[in-house]
Amino acid sequence: MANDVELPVRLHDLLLALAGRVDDDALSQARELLAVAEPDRAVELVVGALLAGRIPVTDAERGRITDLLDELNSARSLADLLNVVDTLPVPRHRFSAESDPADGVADALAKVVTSLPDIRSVMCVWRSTPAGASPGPLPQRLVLVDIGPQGYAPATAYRIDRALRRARLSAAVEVLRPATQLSDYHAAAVTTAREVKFSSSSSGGGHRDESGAWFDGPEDVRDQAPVVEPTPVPEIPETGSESPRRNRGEAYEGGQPFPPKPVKRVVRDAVEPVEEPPLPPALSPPTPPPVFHNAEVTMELGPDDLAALQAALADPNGLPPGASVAVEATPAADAKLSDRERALLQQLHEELAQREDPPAQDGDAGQWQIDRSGTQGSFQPPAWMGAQNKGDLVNGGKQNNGHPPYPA
Amino acid sequence: MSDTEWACHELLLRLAGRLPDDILWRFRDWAATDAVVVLARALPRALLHDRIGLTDLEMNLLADAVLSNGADRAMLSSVEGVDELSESRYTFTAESPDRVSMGDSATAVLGATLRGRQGVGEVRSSWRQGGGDQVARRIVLIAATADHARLTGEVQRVLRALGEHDPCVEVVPLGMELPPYHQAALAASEPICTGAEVDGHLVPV
Repeated sequence: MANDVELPVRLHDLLLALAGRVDDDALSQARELLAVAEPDRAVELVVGALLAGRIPVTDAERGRITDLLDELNSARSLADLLNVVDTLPVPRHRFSAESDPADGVADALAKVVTSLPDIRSVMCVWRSTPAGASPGPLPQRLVLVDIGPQGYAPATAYRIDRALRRARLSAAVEVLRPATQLSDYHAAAVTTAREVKFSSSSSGGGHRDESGAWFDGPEDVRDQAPVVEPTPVPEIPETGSESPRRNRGEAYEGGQPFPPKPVKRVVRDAVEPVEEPPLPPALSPPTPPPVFHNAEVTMELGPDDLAALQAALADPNGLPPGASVAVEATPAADAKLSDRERALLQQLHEELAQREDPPAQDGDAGQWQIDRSGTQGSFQPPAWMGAQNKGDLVNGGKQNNGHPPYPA
Repeated sequence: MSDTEWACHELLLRLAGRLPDDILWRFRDWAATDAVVVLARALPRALLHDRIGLTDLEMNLLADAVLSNGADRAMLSSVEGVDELSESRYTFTAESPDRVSMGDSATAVLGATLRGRQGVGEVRSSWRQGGGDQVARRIVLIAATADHARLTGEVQRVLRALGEHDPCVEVVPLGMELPPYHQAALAASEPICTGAEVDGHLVPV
């Protein structure tokens, strides 16, 4: 490991690498110690847990632990006692998203995700297999937090863990940094995990990026409308979203009777147009919903918007460089447009096709890569619409409507 | 059990209710394993961090427990001495106020595991409240004649698997004069089972 990476980050990465092998409480405690600036105690806790459980580590991992002990003025000889193996035994962890592992998590984390920087997504999954030599009860909820480059992994892990504990939600929190290779453990968890939906009202305040959160949608839309992957999630008013979640939480404590609903996976492939799910009554025309997705704003242009759009089309410099517009209305959305609006959009398409090159396609999404761009297949509003398009934070988004582009 | 192991177990027993539960159970888990060398460094550091003072007896136990495993003498010298232990911050009850109507699977499992077991005497439990705990915590009291540290670790792991993240398992050597914390817990306790040591009572009868 390169020494130009800060020690807390290296220690955080070591804890990530040990997830699934060391008990979740040890990792949680170590992350807390790391976050409160006691990394020496954190490393010793990890070494103690490894020794007590005779948990095997690779030679490279022992080297990282030795370096950490050395840098923290602890006894590097402790690392010599570790059980080093050439090849780690592969623990077969099993994950499940049945019985809604995200139940209650959005409420518990609503405040903290607004105060932490650069949180990109939060996902939940149940792990039904024990971890470590002294495992806790099963199933264990895993909360997987994806952060961007401006995020602080140890602080994020600690704060989210604390928030969950305050809400009496038992969970192991794993914060995934950008540009880090997902372990098999985390890859399996992420693949099965269910995304936590935060309401728009809960993502206000704190350290906010100016961009919209790409999953800044309603919490309980799955309760009210079928979700077909990867159909955009329709926005609904927040009222009425509480009681269904509560009811589900009470019910699954006993028999976990709720089968999993289709979920939007983080591992994304090319976007294929799919059928629009039936909208809940609250969204059905002609009653305008109190909040809109950006795409909906495009579909229902007001007089001012129309004037601005026409002005932009008339002026060859009306759009700033880089303010690309890629409007991809779904068939269902297209059906909602009036002839006049459809003609204007068509005109906009043609103008833009002449002015700009098509946006580069991100074609290197690996199997376990998390899409953190939040821009694929989504509507990126032009500057005159007052929205920005440089990020996709959970706690980002200071838009008029507060609703980001649809996820791919 | 060597003198070092004995000293380590007795000290960790006496630190019940003074060291945080989440740290204490793990230290006890380490005490019976290869991790005792880490314990020798982590225990003094935890005492200093939480400003926990020790009596003369406990100070001697600390030295016996950790110095031979590489503890820092300077760190041990910083541990404050106290003349006597302060009043316990906790109250104990026989029943959990949080689980009045619920079944107690932990008691059933402990009874099935420890009933008639060699080296084990009386097994009792009580519930602790106060001290900043949001919920009542189960305190398991076990009288034992041997393998105290290992038995502690084993019962802790059982309780963790049953849902107690920070198990409070007090394995008391027969004949030991109980610290005030354990006396209070015992006074409010209920029996779970008895091991093979039928005369192994937690207090002399």
